[in-house]
Amino acid sequence: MKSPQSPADWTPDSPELTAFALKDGPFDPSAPGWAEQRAAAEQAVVRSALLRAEIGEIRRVADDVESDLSREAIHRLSADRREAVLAYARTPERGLPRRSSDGSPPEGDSGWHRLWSVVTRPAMGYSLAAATALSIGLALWSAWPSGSQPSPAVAARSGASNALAKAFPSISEDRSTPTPTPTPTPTPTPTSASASDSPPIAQPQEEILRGEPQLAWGSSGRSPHLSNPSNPSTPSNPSNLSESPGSSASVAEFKRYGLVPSADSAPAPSGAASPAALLAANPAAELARKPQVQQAAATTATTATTATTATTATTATTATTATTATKTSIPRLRALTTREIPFQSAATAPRSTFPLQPGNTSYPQIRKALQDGQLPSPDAVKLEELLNYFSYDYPAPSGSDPVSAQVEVADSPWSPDHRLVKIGLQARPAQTAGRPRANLVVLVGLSPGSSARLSWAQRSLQALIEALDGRDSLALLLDGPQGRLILPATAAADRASLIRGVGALRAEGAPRGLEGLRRAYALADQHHIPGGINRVVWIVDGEFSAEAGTRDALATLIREQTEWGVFLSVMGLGSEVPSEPSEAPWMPTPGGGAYASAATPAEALAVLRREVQPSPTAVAENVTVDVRFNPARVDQWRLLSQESRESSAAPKTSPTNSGAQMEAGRSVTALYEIVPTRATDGPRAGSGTESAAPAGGRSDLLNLEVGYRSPANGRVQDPAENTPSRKLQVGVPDVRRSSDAATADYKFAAAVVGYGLMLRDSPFKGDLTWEKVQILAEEGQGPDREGYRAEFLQLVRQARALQDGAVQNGKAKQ
Amino acid sequence: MNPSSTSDQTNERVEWVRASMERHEAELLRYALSLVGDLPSAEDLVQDAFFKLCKQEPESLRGRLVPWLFTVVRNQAMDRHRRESRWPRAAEAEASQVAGNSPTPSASAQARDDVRNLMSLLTALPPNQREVVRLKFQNQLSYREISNLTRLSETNIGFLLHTALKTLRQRFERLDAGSGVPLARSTLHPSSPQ
Repeated sequence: MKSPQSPADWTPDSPELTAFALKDGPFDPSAPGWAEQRAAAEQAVVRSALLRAEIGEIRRVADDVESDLSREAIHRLSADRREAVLAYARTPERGLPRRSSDGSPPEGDSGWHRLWSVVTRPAMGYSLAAATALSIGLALWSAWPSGSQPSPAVAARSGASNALAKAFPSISEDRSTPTPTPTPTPTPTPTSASASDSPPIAQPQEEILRGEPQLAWGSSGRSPHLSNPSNPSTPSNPSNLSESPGSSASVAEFKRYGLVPSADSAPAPSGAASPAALLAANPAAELARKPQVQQAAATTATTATTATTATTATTATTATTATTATKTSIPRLRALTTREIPFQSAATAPRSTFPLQPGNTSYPQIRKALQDGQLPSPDAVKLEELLNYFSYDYPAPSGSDPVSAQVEVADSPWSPDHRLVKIGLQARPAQTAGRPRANLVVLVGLSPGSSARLSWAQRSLQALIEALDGRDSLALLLDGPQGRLILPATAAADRASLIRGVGALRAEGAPRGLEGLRRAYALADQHHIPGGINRVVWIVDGEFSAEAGTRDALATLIREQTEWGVFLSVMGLGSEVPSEPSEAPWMPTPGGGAYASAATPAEALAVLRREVQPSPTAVAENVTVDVRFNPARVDQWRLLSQESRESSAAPKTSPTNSGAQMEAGRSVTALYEIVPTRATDGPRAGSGTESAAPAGGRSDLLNLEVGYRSPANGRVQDPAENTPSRKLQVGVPDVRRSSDAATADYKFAAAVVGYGLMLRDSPFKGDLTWEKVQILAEEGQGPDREGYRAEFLQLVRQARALQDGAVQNGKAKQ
Repeated sequence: MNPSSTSDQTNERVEWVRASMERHEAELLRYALSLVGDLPSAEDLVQDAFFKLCKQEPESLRGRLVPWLFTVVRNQAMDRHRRESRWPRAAEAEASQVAGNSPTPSASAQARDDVRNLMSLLTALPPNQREVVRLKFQNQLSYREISNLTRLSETNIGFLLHTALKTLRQRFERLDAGSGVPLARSTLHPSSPQ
């Protein structure tokens, strides 16, 4: 045996270089001493451009070969062959079933033996196989395969054919002749077995509809589309049965045999039962004891190449739906734990501040509740979170200031005597010029039937493309049974091609995970930018779960690639995606990749945008916000926010949020409602919008002071360090202006907070009505480039309809 | 003897066999087909491998189920080959696939079809290289697994793969250059921002 060359002696023609490029052989992470081997090899490779180029070529060819080979026809064992194996698995002690290629029936010419002799006769096998191959071929061509079993006619014809039998001698001749299995029973003839083979065609289609994402999000037990939502495990409906894992195949078999099992009618394995019935009976028993594991859905989903498995895949979708349907929603009759912050007197408490990093869970919660057909719990409605879910158009800071402030004042839409003050802070956008080039490979692995999630993914990717610099490159890969390259690495300058590529994305079938990710990494490797951002973005949905056998390989792959400088971000779309990586056991440990779950399109967008700004940089540190109300003008004020009922502490009135950072490009918005002093009705007119005007006027309504320190070259400063802090001051003159004359952004902000007031049934809502909220939202649409505001309008209508309905119901009961 | 535990064991074994079939039959069939050349024979091989699996203890195959199945299929194919004293008809099968799939057998039409091209290129490789390429790139086996399966040394596997890839690459390039029709794969070349 030739001893392997040392990496220092490698030439482009060294077989070891191929092994290195393929990360196999001595460079397989499971090989002993692979780390040292790899280190030595890397040293050699780093020094030689020739070797590096060769590695790229090898990987390219390997990738091509792999993808071409993966497109070869997929065959599966015929149902009869599988059934024979399973029958044998039940009684292996009885010896192998006879494969009677010699044509002489075994003693005791029972139906079982007849079945055997026909099924295992090579000619029969051949025609079954040919028919299966043909129908698989057709199935792969058609959008939704409807049948993969041989037609009865074909089976019957070929069953009679003996002529070909001799041409394909059986391989079991040399096997010790087994005692024929005396399974207690008459069996269906092959013809009748085949005749009952075809799966119900209507079923998959119906289930595709049921598997629509809006239902998958929706967790309402009231959903009218679910046939049996209250008890999804009742086995009276075969689609529900697939909830139980490992049984999906059995369900397919049920369907294949046209048997719909039910709790009381499952055929007992009796002497009179046919094998088909036996087969059907066993899964029913197994269903009862197997716990719910989502993995089964993915496992069967990956095999969705034939009609029967496609049926299974869709039933799995339904199962997910049914599972979510059992989640209960927030009980309405519960003591509230939060209350809105009440009005404060400006005379005794003239100072206020607001949080710079409000949470972002409230809006998605509300949306989810509404999608379930329920009004959200008032506690889930957090005004400042709603407000900050949306972005508003604030001017970027000018000059050396890292932060800008904008204040807009108008009469409160719900209490015209009050003023509503909108304060917006905007941090300087991230400097893309300074960031390294990005080489992004996006792997999209969405299960079929999730068209809404596909469109999220597309929308988010389009926004990502907008955020790319012309020098960056992006490639798109589709993960599925026929995983393919949608868009080769393309420079972001060619925006049109990128957008076209995104538009061409489809959910073609169950994603394969490991295989897709391998290709994505290979692609990222080919375009690796030394010192740049090299990242694979993996978009999956809640139906994806790595197969048990591939988890280790996945984790290894990700870890290894991370070591090589290609990072991974996994983005889980949909509310049923685990929100923590630990809930997805196939995810590698931290360090292996970033994990983000996005339950909403907006979150998806935010997650993707972050990909090109891997580490958010703070543009201002130790930011303090100090709002000082002028008691001469302001009688009372309140921040539109809420607090815990238990907390007796007064709301924050001093700028104590010191230490907060503002990240590049971030903005924060706050609304104050002000009761002006009676004497001073300010002058009408005026622009109503103030930006960084000199502060301190006596007629001012309030003064805004934003203190901050600039981070020193991105270095995190010791908070105790006494660097000079800077201040931005804005004086806000008191103006009277109808909210009708306010900007679209102002109206939209008022609509969002007003929506919260309505949902909370706030004591402060004044004369606010749903009608008014809707008008404000409509007038506040603005350009709405990302479609969030339109979506909000939709939620307003939904909530309005629900609350009106609830009110009418209440009246009807009285 | 406790009858219920026996039936539990039986159910477990059935479930295990069922899951193994579900997961591995397709890749085994591809491999078997590449060894014997016709689908019914390939199905025989794979079905027999699963029959044999029924007699195994799940515990004894933990972590090496896939190599075990491949080994059984391969050994049976070899037995069969000895019995019939001819090398498996893989080459014929691949050649016939090429011919059968081609509605218009013009050279330029063929050049556009990657799969067909690869098949014809693969067919031109020596059988041992062809098998190793498939095991590595279609069945995703590692050098070591291929080595265990074929009883060739890992170094030897590395050499076979290296040679095969080199040959394939040269032929790909010739195809790309000759056809005048840019193949999809050429789009994989690093893009430049023009």
